[in-house]
Amino acid sequence: MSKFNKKSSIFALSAIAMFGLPAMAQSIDYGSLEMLFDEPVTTSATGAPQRSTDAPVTMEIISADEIRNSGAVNIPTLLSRLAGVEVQQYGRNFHDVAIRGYNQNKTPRLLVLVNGRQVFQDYYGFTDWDVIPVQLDEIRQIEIVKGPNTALFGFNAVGGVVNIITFNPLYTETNTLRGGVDFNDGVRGSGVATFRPFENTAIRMSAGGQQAQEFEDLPFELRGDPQNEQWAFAAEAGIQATSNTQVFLEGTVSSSIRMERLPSGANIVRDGETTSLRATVTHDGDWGLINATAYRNTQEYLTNPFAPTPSFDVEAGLTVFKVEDLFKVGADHTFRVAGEYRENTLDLILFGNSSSNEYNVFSVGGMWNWAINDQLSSTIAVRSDTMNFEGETIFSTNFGAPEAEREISEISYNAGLVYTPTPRDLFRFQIARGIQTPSLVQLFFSPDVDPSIVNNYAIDYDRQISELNGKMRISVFYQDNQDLFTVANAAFAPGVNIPTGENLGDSELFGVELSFEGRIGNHIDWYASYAINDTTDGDFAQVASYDGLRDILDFEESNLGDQLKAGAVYDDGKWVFGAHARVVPSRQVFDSFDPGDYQYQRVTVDSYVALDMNLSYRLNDDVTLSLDAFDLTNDDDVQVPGGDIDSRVWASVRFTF
Amino acid sequence: MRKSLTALSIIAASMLATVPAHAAGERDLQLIGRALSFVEGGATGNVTLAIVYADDVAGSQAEAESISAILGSGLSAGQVTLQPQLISISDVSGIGSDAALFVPSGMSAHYSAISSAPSITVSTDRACADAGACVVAVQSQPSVEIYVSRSAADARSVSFASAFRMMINEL
Repeated sequence: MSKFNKKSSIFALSAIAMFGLPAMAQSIDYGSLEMLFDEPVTTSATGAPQRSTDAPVTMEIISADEIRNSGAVNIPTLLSRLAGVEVQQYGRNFHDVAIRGYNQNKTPRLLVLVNGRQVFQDYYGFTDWDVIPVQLDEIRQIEIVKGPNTALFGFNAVGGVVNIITFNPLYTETNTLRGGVDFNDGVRGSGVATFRPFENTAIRMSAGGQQAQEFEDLPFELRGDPQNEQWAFAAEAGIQATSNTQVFLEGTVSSSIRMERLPSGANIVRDGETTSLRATVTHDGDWGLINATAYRNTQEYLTNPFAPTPSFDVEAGLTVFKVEDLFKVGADHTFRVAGEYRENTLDLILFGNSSSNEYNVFSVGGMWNWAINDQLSSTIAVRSDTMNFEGETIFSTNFGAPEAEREISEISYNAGLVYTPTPRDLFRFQIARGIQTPSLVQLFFSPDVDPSIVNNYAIDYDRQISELNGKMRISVFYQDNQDLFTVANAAFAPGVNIPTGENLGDSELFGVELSFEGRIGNHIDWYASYAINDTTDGDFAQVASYDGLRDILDFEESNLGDQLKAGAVYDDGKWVFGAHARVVPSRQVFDSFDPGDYQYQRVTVDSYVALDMNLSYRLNDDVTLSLDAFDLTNDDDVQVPGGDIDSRVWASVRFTF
Repeated sequence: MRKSLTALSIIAASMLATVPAHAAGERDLQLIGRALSFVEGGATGNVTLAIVYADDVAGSQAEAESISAILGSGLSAGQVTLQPQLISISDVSGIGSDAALFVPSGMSAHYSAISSAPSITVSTDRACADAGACVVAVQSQPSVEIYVSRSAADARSVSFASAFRMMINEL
């Protein structure tokens, strides 16, 4: 043994003697890293852990503290307060959330995940916020990526990504109990508990639910029961298998019955149940940080469950296997290589006729992050997806046509450059190509439909402003959306119609978002933002109707124009008082009015100001009383045609133990 | 006039040699404690932070004592509690293997001796990491930066969690 090696061995023994306890940091320890770097940490930009300010994408992060002081009782309410995020509500518990325009009923452009597990429902192409099996008290942070990030997350991350990160039971114990009553005849409750049955194992369990009257102006006659119900249960076990290997097992089930509105304009009642099972292994070793995940999601929805004939019942499943390796080469280069296989299946009963179809997707992708110097870093991510679709369509089920087969292959990419000329100033340059794939339902109705392509170009400028004790951000972006599609009903005679989901055309969006946030004294946090959208549509195809062709898309009129949002939260340790307002401009959308006829007409949704306020008092370290009010200034205003919004006030109590 | 400028230059050079570029504060020390948690093997509990001084570096003993005073009877940072101990540069080779060696700024003349210390070496002076004498150097203002000398870490067979490595500056 050489002297050098002998010395190294002595050092190694010394290091082992000093740091001889088991390692606990294979999965990303968001809490410790956030404490270390004094800012939130994310993996939603590139797959690698990064400080939020270093991320090469436009990103917002809502922290657990912000959630706790927000008064919000659901995730869409939290998102509605962010610049460039549009939330429209239909019924008490049905929300459509879009980032940077193109919102519509059951919008397909926003990919939503919980700890990287997709809760976006591929079979239809939408996110059912009501059945996401997560309680607010178990969320560590919500990461919001604005713009496409298909190269990391795959199809459908085109408008943006919302990744909900829960507390890791191995690192954080969360024990809460919360209950509340709504002054309009509603009740809700939730609980989160963490325990350690073994020294190397931690389990977090959560459950929650609510029951409430639907809003007054919704068409109750469809269901015969005005009660809105929702519940969810989740359990996650974290196991420190070895000093550098962790295993996570998770199971969830959730259910909801409520009113919703389809892209076609139909108002329906949905009785749905979702389940999920997931297993994840992470290993930190010589080959870097390796993560292998397998999960299966199922959804079962009954439409208008009180009707004598099933009108649109579905059973859908998603199975995913994915492996990724994150590793660093030298001092400046971080790489991610990943492979994924997914299988989606759909069993559909449409007006009594059963159909089945499915697709699978093979994906490979990679990411390279290069810290060029202390001021400049670049990131390039590329992904290839190949989708194979086969199965029945509306034409094979009803008209004797052969079953359909399709193969769709697409390349997506994200490229970003982050430049920090001074510690206070940061520029972020981004180019991305995102892919929105047709859903199984879309392919059932229109098997020839092509994916939509979203090309995105964006520049951010962030500046820390010491006078505000905060920061400013200005984002300028341009989106080129090609081959947009939606689902609409073509009416061939009064009462005779068929759903269709063809590509309808292109649309461009230029936008600017200006936002400020700061702190006044030690107790008041505030924010304000102003967003401008300028949309230019191409010539959209029209939908057939028995009295001529009719428009079904017009994003120049339906995209929100200028939006102003502002809010502040006072927190002195005992009292918390918050107020959040957003000014939503007028817009035009299409409505079929007569649900059996589908003669689409333009309808104007008037502008409104939505004001939420919350007040809470901490009795002691364990008990907090709250009064939370929503939509105080837009009671009876319409956000989506077909029903008004009612103001709501919740009185709640929250225990921590 | 020329004599005056020369005198001023000597005074300035003397000040640069003796006055620390950046005296460590509590925030810096907490950063060091938290960073130690990401060393493979996971430091937890009480960790002795041996603060080195040199008689021939003016003010270094005073700074060491100042840092020791900040740590007091123990400074909790993440999963570790840092316990102070003053140590002369002549004694670093005999430092206990269960300690971390804190190197104040202005110790460049002794980097060779510091490099021979068997324990992990930490500092608030990036120059120490640049020189390969310190494994970790931290900066808390204007933003948090963590520098790790790969050569110093390799020499001690110290490695860090992969996630940590992806977020710091390796030199």
